[in-house]
Amino acid sequence: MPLEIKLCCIITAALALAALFAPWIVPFDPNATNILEKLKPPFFLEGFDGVHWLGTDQLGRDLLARCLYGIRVSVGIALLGLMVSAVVGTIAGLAAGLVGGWLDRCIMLVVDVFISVPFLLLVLVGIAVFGSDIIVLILLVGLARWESYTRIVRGQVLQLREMPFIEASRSLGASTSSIAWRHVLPNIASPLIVLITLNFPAILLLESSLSFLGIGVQPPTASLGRMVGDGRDYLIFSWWVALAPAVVIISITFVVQTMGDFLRDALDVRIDD
Amino acid sequence: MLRLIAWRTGFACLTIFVVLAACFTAVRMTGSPVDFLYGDGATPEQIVELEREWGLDLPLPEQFVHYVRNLAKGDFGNSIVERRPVTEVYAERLAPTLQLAGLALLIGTVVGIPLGIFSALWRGNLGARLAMGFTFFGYAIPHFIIAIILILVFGYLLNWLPSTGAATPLHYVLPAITLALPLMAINARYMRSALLDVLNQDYVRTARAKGLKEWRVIGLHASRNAILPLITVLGLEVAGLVNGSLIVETVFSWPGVGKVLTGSVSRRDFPILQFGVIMYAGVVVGVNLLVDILYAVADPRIRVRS
Repeated sequence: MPLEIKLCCIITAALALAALFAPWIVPFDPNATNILEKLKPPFFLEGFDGVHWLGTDQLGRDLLARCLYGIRVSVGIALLGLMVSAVVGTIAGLAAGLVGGWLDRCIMLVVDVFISVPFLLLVLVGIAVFGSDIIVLILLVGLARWESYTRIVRGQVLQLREMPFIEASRSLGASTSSIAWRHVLPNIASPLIVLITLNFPAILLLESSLSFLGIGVQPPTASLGRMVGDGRDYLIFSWWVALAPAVVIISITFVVQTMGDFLRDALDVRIDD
Repeated sequence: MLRLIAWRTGFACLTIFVVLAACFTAVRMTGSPVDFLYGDGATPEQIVELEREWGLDLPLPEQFVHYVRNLAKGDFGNSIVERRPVTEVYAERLAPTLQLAGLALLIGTVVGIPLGIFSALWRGNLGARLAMGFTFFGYAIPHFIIAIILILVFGYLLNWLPSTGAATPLHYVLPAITLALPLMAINARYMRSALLDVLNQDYVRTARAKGLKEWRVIGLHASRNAILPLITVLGLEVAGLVNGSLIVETVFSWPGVGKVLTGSVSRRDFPILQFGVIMYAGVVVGVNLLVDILYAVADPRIRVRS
């Protein structure tokens, strides 16, 4: 394993642990406001008060606490959304490839239509209709990129379908679903893992863009995108309010993207963008 | 060839129709704009009256048929909030958006493609590695963070460039760069891998073997063939531009279409939202259609296969 991948693993583990054990790391409530303490600078600037390591925001909330709880919210939504899209997309791909015929054509038509619509627009309409509940957000974010799984899985299934072991189990009377579950899925695991890893940054960015626009996670819940959006108004004198969560977002996407690229090359998977 | 174009065009129309129908149904599933506009201030009779005026009391399929019939006549409806034709609302905001998107596409292409060529030719060299690292960042950083960083550095710290509105040509610099950076990254990445593929081809070796100057080999033989797959990236880029412009226009208070559209979501201005969705989807579908046709024209192999 190259050094930078080891480094990426360490960073991921550190961020994950910090987010999980946030209440034990920072003694502050992420949503507790204290106007007297507002816009305090972080530890590397003059005026650091020795308590709020990343400073405070416009309402005097501790930024380190908000960043850590924000990782929980943003990464949580992204991970659940990722699961939704992977499951939906994989099932659609398996069905299209194994059943074939009109079902295949229907699914691929939906995929084609889906690709040609700008996704942010779809989400905007979705939020306009269903509101921005966390569940709605997860489902909408989960709609993103499901078609990438469908395309890859279908392509793989079409190749696998002609293999002797699939033919053998079919002639032994195995049902389509058991062939899908027991023979096809284990064989397409590595492209799926790579795809899931590479899709994660995109989904995280989608969630944070939505929250940044003010239509994703609603206040006072801390989410990384929303924090950048709030900090926008204080850029001139208190730039750390926006930059702290921005740095967190960039580090997560950067690290995961690097690991995804590495996995893709190491497992020798071809995934066309 | 003609059949391919006809089939693709038909599919594009179908796509837009499906999007339109889905959007039309979805926005009507919850909440009436009347409640939103007047809240508790309107009497039940007035609400019924207003809903009749906007045709919201009819059954959904009937509303849709009505809407499509009007569309065919070129009538896209009136904005509920602003009480004037949606085409008018959009028309006055269209120019700034198109200028910004065009500029970004230009910068992204003019900088991105040479960057890709450079990093393919001098693979392993420090400059080329830096260039690829830079494109990697272009992938990993979302528009809104690029925007925030640019505003902070060039707007506030250095005080070189303005960061809100579209008053002077200088106002175009930061939003255009924000939109262009991810495009640059896409172009550079695709150009690099396409050129690396092409450089191993026999005809490049032949061109070198017959003693052509290196710039002719790269410029005339290799690059021309490597640019071909880049046509397909254009569709991807336009979709990215649409997503990006929605965000960039909000951050830079750009007087464009994106702000009208995002605003219509929270105000439940159905006609505005519908027209925006048709317009954006139309652009993306249209560009993809054009890409398919261009590709078939440029690459005889596609024509034969279809």
